[in-house]
Amino acid sequence: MSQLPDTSGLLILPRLRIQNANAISSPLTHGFPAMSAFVGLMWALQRKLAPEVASGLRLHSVGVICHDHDEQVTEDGYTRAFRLTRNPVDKDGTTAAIVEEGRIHLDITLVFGVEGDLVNEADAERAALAKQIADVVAQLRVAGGSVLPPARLGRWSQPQLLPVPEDPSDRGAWFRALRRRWLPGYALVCRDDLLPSAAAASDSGANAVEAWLKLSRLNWSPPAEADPKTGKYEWQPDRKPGWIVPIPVGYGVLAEYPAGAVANARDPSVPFRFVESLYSIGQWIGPHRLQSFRELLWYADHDPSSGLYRVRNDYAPVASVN
Amino acid sequence: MSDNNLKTASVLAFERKLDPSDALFFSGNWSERTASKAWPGIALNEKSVRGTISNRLKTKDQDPTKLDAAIENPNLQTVDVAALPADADTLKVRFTLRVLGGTGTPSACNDAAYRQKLTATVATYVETHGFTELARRYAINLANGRFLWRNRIGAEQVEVQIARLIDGKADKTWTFDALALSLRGFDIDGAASASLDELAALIAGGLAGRHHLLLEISAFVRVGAGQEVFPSQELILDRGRGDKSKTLYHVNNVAGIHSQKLGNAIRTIDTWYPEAAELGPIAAEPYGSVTTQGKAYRQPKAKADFYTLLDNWMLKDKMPDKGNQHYVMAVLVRGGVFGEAG
Amino acid sequence: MTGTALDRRLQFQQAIARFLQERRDAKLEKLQADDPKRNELIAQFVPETWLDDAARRVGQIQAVTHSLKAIHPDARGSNLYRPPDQLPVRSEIGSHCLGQDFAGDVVGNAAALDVYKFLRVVVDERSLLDWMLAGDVDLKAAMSPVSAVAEAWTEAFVGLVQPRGAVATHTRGKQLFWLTGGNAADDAGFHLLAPLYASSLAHAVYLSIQETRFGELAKAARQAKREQLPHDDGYADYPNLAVQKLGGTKPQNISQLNSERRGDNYLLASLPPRWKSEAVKPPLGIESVFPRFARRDEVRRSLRALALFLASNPDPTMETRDRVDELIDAIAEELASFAAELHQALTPGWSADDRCVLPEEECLWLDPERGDPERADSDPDFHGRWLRMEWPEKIGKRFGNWLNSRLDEKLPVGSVEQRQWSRMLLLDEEWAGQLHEQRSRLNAPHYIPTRGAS
Repeated sequence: MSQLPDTSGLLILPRLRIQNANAISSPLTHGFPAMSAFVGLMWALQRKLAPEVASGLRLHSVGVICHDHDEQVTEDGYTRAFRLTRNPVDKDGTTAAIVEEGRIHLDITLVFGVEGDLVNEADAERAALAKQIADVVAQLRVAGGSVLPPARLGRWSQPQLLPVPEDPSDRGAWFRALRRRWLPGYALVCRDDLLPSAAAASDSGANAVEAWLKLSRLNWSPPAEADPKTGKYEWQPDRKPGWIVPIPVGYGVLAEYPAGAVANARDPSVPFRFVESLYSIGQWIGPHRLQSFRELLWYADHDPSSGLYRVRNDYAPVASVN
Repeated sequence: MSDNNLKTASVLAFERKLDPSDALFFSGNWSERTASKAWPGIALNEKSVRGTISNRLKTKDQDPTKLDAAIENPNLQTVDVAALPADADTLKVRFTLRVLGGTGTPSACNDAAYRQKLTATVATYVETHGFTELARRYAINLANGRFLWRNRIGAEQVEVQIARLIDGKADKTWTFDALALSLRGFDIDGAASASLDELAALIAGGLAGRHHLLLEISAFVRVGAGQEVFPSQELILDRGRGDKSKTLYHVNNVAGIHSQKLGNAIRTIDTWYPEAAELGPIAAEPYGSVTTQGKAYRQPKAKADFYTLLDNWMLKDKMPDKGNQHYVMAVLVRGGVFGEAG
Repeated sequence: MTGTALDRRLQFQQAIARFLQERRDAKLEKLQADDPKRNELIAQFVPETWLDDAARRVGQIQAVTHSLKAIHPDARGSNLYRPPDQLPVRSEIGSHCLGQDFAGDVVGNAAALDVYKFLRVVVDERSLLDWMLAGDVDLKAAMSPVSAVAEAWTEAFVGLVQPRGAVATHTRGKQLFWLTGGNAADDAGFHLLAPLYASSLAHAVYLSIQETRFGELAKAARQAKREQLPHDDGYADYPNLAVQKLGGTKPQNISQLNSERRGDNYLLASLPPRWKSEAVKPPLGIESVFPRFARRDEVRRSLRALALFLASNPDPTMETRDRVDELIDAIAEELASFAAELHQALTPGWSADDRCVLPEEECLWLDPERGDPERADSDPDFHGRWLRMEWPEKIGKRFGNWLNSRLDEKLPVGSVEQRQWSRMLLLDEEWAGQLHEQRSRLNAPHYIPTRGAS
């Protein structure tokens, strides 16, 4: 299994306000764009950089801290429905088929893991470069949404390109100062470790789906005994190791075709794959609980032999302080 | 030099080039517009209304006794409403508009020959007309407050302030008396003309990719203290029983207008469709559809729709008349998925 | 022919006959006894006749596990039949998890759905379709004594799972690029991925959630919980579960299973927690925020861990020291998070309210922008005191006293005092650095640490 590439610097775009990002992240999940959408943004951004910048700065991973979010859904009742804008009108004036598109407004900080010579430039050059890149991002779609100008200037909004301190013993204090700037908020990390192991999953097929669903919900169980004072049974929900959520983590191949073999492909010059979404478990944790930037960053992984295209994250849960 | 083998790309899509934010509603007093930064947001309220029987009754319900019973038992409905407070006479509607370059460059196109032809065609258009005509019309739709929709109707005064933002600060600001500008046409002269020219030149430069352009638009609408104001209405499929029958848009409990609705108003520049003389400008849409009327004014039958015009232009080298050239470009600025996959 | 083969053939024949008879009888029931159509209908359901017709009509439908129309109702292109047990085993969750136990879906003309139902008839634990796909000779023999006819029908029926027409996707289908090479600037480094809707997986998830929401066991357990009674089983809730409508008012246009679900597609919530709730109220009318801070889950947990550790009377070694430091660190970082939430959620200047009875250093810490000169109602005196930077040490001291009291005064001497409180509490050192000039103007001392200083 692959791991995070060597990282010599971080590019930080703080407090981006994104309007109308995709809230439906896969056929089975909603509430935050898929991490693969941010990885896709990273690739689009790399391609937009001027050649002289691109050659000295390679973006290879991305982390996201969510400071605030406002999903456009109904609030009442047991289930949520999406609040849509008006129906489109078809050529005959009738209402066109409505395709439900979930929307969410986000206030996020993006942190890109980078490598390349440009991270060693002087402060002023790096600041100018970070600003230039932030201007490019402002004109891209971020997870399908538009980038709005910052609500408040000054205090949280300056983009930064920072070298990772060379001496590993300096990195702890350096990162602690950085992560405090991302408060308040929650960073998404991967918790593959909470899923049943691959071997167990292959033995008991559908139970893996059931185990995943169990992690995705509140499971209430009755106590063994009644409260001695009231005589009542106080039901409790199960305790999870933090705020864990089901997330899409990429795609698995269903059928492969060489370039040009599939009609109506967006690009006839690259290999084509029919795929399905794959899922795992993620955790939202306060950035002040991250031990290193390595725990924040997500990167793309591709395994041709099994037809796997997924995003990975090297977060390692520390033993609980209990 | 018509190329008989050229086909429309089966995958063809464009990003929108005029990208508004949602607009938010604030309240204050007309005389205190300069201090509007501190104005509070307008929150939504719920109210119960007695629904009256207004829908067409089915024949079987037309029994007079049943009708009386139905009228006597109207549904109690809950709806969202928004209004100015009793001590404020002015609504402020604020949003930003980003103008992006690269008009005519598809975000997806799976046919290299078609892409080449498209690029050449757009280049010729830009050489001949620039984005001057389109930009001027977009500028006018900002200045005349069309984006206020129903909030513009019945207003005593409407002032629109437009600022170009650079690094978050206003680099230049223009002020317009919106009610002095007609919604019916785009022939403007007089006081506003010079400001509009400046603004239009900036928008044209933004569309052509000559510079980044971010505008902040603040409209002040003097409607009178306590008056109702009109945010966007939301569409919810499969509303549950007893749910609200009208849901209005808000962001963190501040009433607002959807960005899509603003975009629709800004691109209401099409005066080149068949019935334009009587009906005035409509939004640049592939079939000239007007959602509020449930009608489409550019019918394929009449060969007036975007697809027919574009195909003629690209595939048969039949250049549309000048007005329809502007229209086709305006649809590209709007963006969308236009491919011809079977 | 062996005895077993004969048995199997009969078994298949009976299953087919039973299926046809049930359908026929259901239709006959609707007709009058003297209706001339009766004979016509009976003729249609003669196995040979019906099978021949079905083999022709099967081309109008396709059995799928992965469909395109659920991605976008206007998209037309290839749908796929990829039985889960033939997919690679993965450690992620996906269709492969379903194994042999999955619901197939059907797309195409709804009028030919009876053919699909026929192929789903189960004999000996597997569907007729599965047996045909396995080339079962007994089933062929059961369908027709003429082997060429049986072959032709089988071929037609197994076509149910074959993609129709040339392989295609659609401009409305989702298509995304994935970088497999190292360099994003190089077009050749990408693959094009077209996600299809995993219909069988979605159905399994749907059924499980339906059971959780509406199943009899769940209902009984929910009732017991409401009445605070004991019960044999638990139940579950899906917070923020969303329902997406696929196909609008015509779910049958998307697929058979979608129609069975009335177009409801369940979406599980990945939402981040929302700290910025109405719960963040200004700390008015209280003399310190530390009691409020102490109620946070993380703080309670760390405090408990620290108390337990100290109660064990560990030897005064380096390791003990590190462990204590680590636990205090966790609490102090939580303090920074707590402060950041108040900074973000409250309107600057909240601490000027008459009802605020916090000591000055807590105000300076938690309402730093009250004195910001850029603000309209800025408080210059407050700002001056903020810039003097005496408050971080005072907060550190308050924190130490509070912590020690919570731990029955067992904290090792110096373990809190040594911390660099100004670094920790400033949250954003760069922002503090930007105030350098203002500090000069106000003649405040110059010892705000900036990045790089220790």
